[in-house]
Amino acid sequence: MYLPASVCALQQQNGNTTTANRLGDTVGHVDRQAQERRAETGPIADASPPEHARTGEVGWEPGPGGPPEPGVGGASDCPEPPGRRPAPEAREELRRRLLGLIEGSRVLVFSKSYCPHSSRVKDLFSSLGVGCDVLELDQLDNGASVQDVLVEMTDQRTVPSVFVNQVHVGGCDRTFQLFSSPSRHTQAHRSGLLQKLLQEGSQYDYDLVVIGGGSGGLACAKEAATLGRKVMVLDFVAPSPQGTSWGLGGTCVNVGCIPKKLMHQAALLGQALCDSRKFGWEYSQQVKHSWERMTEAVQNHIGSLNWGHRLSLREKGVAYVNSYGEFVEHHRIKALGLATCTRPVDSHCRGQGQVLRRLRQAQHAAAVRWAACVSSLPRCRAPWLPARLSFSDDLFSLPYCPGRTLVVGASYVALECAGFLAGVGLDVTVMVRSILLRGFDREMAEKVGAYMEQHGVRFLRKFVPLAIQQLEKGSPGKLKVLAQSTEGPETVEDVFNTVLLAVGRDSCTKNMGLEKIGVEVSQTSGRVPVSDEEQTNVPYVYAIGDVAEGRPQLTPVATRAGRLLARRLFGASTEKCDYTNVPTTVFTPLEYGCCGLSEEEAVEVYKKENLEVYHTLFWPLEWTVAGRDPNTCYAKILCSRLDRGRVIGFHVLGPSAGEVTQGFAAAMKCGLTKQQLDGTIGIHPTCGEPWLSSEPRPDPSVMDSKAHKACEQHKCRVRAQETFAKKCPYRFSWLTEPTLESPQPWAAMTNSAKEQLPLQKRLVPTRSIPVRGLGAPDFTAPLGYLAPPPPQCHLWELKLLIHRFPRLGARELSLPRTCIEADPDPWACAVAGPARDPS
Amino acid sequence: MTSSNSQQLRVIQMLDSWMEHLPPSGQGQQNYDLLVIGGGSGGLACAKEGQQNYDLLVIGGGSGGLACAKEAAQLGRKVAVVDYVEPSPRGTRWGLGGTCVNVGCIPKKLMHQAALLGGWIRDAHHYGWEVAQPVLHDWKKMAEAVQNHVKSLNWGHRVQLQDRKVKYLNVKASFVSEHTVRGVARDGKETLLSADHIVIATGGRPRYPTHVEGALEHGITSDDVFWLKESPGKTRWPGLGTLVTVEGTPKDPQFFALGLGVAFQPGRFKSVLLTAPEAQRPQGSTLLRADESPALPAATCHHCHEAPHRPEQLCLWGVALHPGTACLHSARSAGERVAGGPPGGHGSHVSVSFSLTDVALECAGFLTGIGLDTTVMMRSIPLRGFDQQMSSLVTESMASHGTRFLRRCTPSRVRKLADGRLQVAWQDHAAGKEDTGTFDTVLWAIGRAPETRSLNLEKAGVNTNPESQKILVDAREATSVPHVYAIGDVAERLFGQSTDLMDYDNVPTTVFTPLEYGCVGLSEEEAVARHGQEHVYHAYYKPLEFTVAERDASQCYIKMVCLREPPQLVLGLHFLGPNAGEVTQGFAVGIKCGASYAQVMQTVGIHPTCSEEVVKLRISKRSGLDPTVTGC
Repeated sequence: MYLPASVCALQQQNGNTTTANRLGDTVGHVDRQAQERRAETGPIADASPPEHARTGEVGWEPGPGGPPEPGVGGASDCPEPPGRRPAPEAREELRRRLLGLIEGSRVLVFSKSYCPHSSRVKDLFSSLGVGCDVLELDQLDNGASVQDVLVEMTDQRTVPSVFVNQVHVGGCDRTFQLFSSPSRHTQAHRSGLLQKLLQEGSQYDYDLVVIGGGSGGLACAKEAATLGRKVMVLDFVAPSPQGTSWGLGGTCVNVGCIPKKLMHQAALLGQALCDSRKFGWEYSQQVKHSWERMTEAVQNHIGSLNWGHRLSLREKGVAYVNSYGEFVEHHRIKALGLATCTRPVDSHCRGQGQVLRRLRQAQHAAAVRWAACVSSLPRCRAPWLPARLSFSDDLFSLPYCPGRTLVVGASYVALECAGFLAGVGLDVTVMVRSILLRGFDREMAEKVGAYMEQHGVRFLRKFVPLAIQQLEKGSPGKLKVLAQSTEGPETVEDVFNTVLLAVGRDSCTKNMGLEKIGVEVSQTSGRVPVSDEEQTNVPYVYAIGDVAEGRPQLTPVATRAGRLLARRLFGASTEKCDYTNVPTTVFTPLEYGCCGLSEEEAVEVYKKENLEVYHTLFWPLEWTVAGRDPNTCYAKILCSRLDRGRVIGFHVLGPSAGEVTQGFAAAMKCGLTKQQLDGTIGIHPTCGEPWLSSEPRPDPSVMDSKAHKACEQHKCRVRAQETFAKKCPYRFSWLTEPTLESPQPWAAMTNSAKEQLPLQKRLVPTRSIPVRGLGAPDFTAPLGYLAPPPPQCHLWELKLLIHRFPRLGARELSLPRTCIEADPDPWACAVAGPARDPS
Repeated sequence: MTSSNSQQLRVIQMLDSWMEHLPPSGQGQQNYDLLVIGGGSGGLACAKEGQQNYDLLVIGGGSGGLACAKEAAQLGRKVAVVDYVEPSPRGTRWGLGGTCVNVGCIPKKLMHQAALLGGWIRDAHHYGWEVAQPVLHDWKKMAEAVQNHVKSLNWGHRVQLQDRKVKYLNVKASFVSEHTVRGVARDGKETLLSADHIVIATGGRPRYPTHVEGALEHGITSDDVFWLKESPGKTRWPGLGTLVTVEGTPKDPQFFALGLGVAFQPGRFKSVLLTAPEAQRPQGSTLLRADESPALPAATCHHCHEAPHRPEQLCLWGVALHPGTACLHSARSAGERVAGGPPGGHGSHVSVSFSLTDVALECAGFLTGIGLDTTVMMRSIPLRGFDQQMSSLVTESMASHGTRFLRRCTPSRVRKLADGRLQVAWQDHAAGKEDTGTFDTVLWAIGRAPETRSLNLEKAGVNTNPESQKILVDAREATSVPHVYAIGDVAERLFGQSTDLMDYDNVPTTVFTPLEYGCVGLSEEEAVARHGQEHVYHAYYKPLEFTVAERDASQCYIKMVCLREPPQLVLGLHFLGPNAGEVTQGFAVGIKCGASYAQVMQTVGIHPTCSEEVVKLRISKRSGLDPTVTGC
């Protein structure tokens, strides 16, 4: 098995320049010892094999043959001239990559295609029937650097350089010595050290076992498999009380984001159908919605995704077992199949290996928790309970239309379900115990609720269900629901076809045998506390995704955490998952996207006086002709005054909120400030535009004309602006450097200081696309100076300016005169006229 | 054509620099007279004749002009805006607000939305909605809705100007002297205006290929397409709505002196409208427009001496009629004669747009989207100046939506056929032969020319580029005359000739083709040219909405161009897919903040959206791996 050069190239790209990882530390330690020894013994040339240190590390006793004579390997191997030494960072990265390779291969031979000794070694392994990875250094672009790094790692400059199960064996002679061929040695040596070494790797069946085939688990398994590891995924879905079960892919694919978004899309299309008449489309009035067809289409898509996941696991060589994983003892897991619950697929993990668990959250756990919340509901847990209550898990595959629906709960799942059910024309009531969308920005949450209320969703606030009684069986049947107010003795009774419970999710950490190996589970949440490297209190057990305590319960977060975990475990990088500024979107009829802090959190963290809130109502262009309410869509950003107006919270309520939020989340990663936001050019006409023109509070308005109702204030502001314009002419001019003297919103702590601030600029829409050479002004971002590094073109433009306007340039641009050519320009005079006098 | 921010920001800078030279507002009143009197030889004379004086006069009521006027008014100056829309050869005219509002992005996006809705109606079936067939599109209804919105925006702009005490004059401006401008109203009334500072923001208008025979007579431009009251393609009423022309030139040159007929039969033909070039119009003829049709009764028929009927649905658009000679009766009878024959089911050819600016593709996109048969003819490459890989994907996706493309062709002649359709002849450079085709409408989208000719700029001594006719300005928008400034499409910066090197880096744009294309920063070609080596990360993805709807997503593609050396600064982002504008906007802000590839990758995605794919770009072009995204 030859390792193609492209693999190396790929890893080179994926390699992350971070500090040494755990494995790196181990080897680094060896290296340090080797370096120390080198320092003692002298130059690199008299290389002594590092087997002592190495074997000491892994607990392998050298065989009776003892360490070979120094230089033996070198004598018979191909000597190489020293190559060009790469930069330290590059070398560090290369080193890490090599370690990854060594880690990932059972046998790895660094060789040269023309070297006879290398061929001998390769032949030896093939005769033993052992597959070995070969890296032909002379065929690599960076072969010389690889060799340099190898020298550092092993003190051996020659090829072949053989690694067996991460132990550096040495060169050709040394390998044969260890192999101790029967022709040269006694029978006792026949099962030589090499064979021992080769066998060592088989102590565990798998390098990594992943329990749970959700987004995070699959990402982790695939990444580990890509890094050359032997991986197993255990995934088993315990049916919900209604008997719903599903395939590989976890919550997201089967009962989460994917079906939710698709059904949300169906609801949006219903809205689009209404709009389309206003846009000139004509078709017959009767439009009906078929729940069955939608469900079928959605389930078909999910089926294809399940299949796709299976396929990709197979392609990557990950073993997949559809059974329930349970810890038996340390490093040992029992997999219980559905049919034969005792199917003994015992899998072991390597000593340094890891078991990774990412657990699907149980749908039945929701019922338990619900019961816990509403403790006076013992009757609801009667045996008929599963027959008549739906959970969000069941909803997406419900074979019949749910009809009149009561949604219990106000989590985002509840609101999303209520939203799309109403969107496809059903009568929906949401029963809310306390507040909508706990954990999200209150103002936005209320706006989400208000919009839903306007669009046909009924809200029963401050009520909890007391009893549910089945009136009729059938699909759907009829249920009588008795609810009690949380604030008084008032009760409400109503009949629904379906009751949907969406009061939260619990993780299924029970019955996993976690207690057998002593993994700590939080009593309150049932989740597993983890370190910032996703490690549980048992070092080789990791938890990612929803099962980990205190993590955002979002698919991309889990995916990311899983991928990074695999890379950390197997030496590709040390990057940790960053859980700050995680963007998310709630797919209610009017989508709500957010990133960063909510206003409440921001006030708590930064205090009110340090916070600047900009907000605006906006009217998407598509809504104008469709005749929808102009004062619905809303955008809000929170800026910290302590930090030069850095944006710490981003909230948007409007169509395509998800698409909008994503990019701004990336910008927030880069430390977005309000100034930079103001300096960016909007794409007109899109829903991403309003941020670039949000007004400061308290003045939310769609039309800027409204801002001038307060005439007194207006005059005052005009005066202030004039003064400001006179005092700080550099404020807007883009050829000068920024000064800290100009007042900034976050710097103005007092009201009088705030008065001095310039008006927030609202934008007048215009064409979106400047066509180069066809009338577009040659525009260099005038506020480019606000960006931390000024764009390169500025300098170029300055030079050109100087060239064109020598007088202007010489005085104003304060560039060295030497670079200005004498260019008599008839324009210079005219230009200099209105220009401000430099004196 | 520019982005609003850029214009406004520049206006702010400009005003800012004026503030230094203008006296503070208190003294301003005193200096006001002095300034005007000193404002040139003509100034004094004019002032005595009741001429109006302003601190600032803005010529052109587009985005840039309005922004400038409002800003100056806020600073307490006396400002006037002069706006006048010269009707297009078709007779289309519109209100305050300039290209963007009237014939640019606003109507374009709305019509694009109409086309998108058409796609969604088809999708709806897959999502369980039962929509009875057939689904048809009514151009008229859409156009009305769009035009109403545009008119409301026109009104909004007027109100805003009024609120800020900006004087608005609907007159055509031309310079008399350095500080004086003559305005001619539509009725010929003249006004003299003088101002300390004059800003020219007249923008540009679409070009016609004057070398192509019949281009002006028979073609329309983007100025007209949004204001057509009838579908340019006539798919709706096969045999009914087809354009009908009275064959040949009428015998009596008094009637239909232009050789174009008007035919109308209630319930049979929706409308007929044709126009003639100004040169061929008889002396003293007037242009009639639909909203001016009250003028019709004055035109009494010489033949029947009856007061002409005014059919309700008749749409006369830019038909030149000789005063007192228009005879709707004869037109009607002619129409009836023609209509008496078999209904001409002409099929549904629509538009040909020549050369490919984004407007051409956008128009072709929404015309195809609402069910019209559209052909795009291009001379060389689509979307010049954009990333070429992306633009070829754009055309590919349009082709899969049913738009036909004629590549490497240049039109040579447009001729009107007897049945009213247009025969277009073109030179096919690829095949090296001449070819012809028949279409209902020909839409030219070959670029825009600045509106400077009628300004009499030489009177004020303002220099223009003789080739492009654009006004030359310096970095501060000042022209060769210090107190005259030019902004927007009409201006050409002195060093702006080498546009390639200009900093467009952070200007995000979106092309609203059926599959929207959003980009910010450099194209791949530009990045290579500027920085030599660069990394390109890319992915073909499938939007979740497309899966159930069984749509083809083979052109949904994302590309991110990064610098090679760490930390791999992002140079450009190109996104092809639904909601591209929304996606690009945020990333544009990110790139403005100096985002690196690593930072973008560190951003957590929002599942499941299309923009999520941007933060999941891991396959680089150099690796040669398959960039198709699978799974979630």
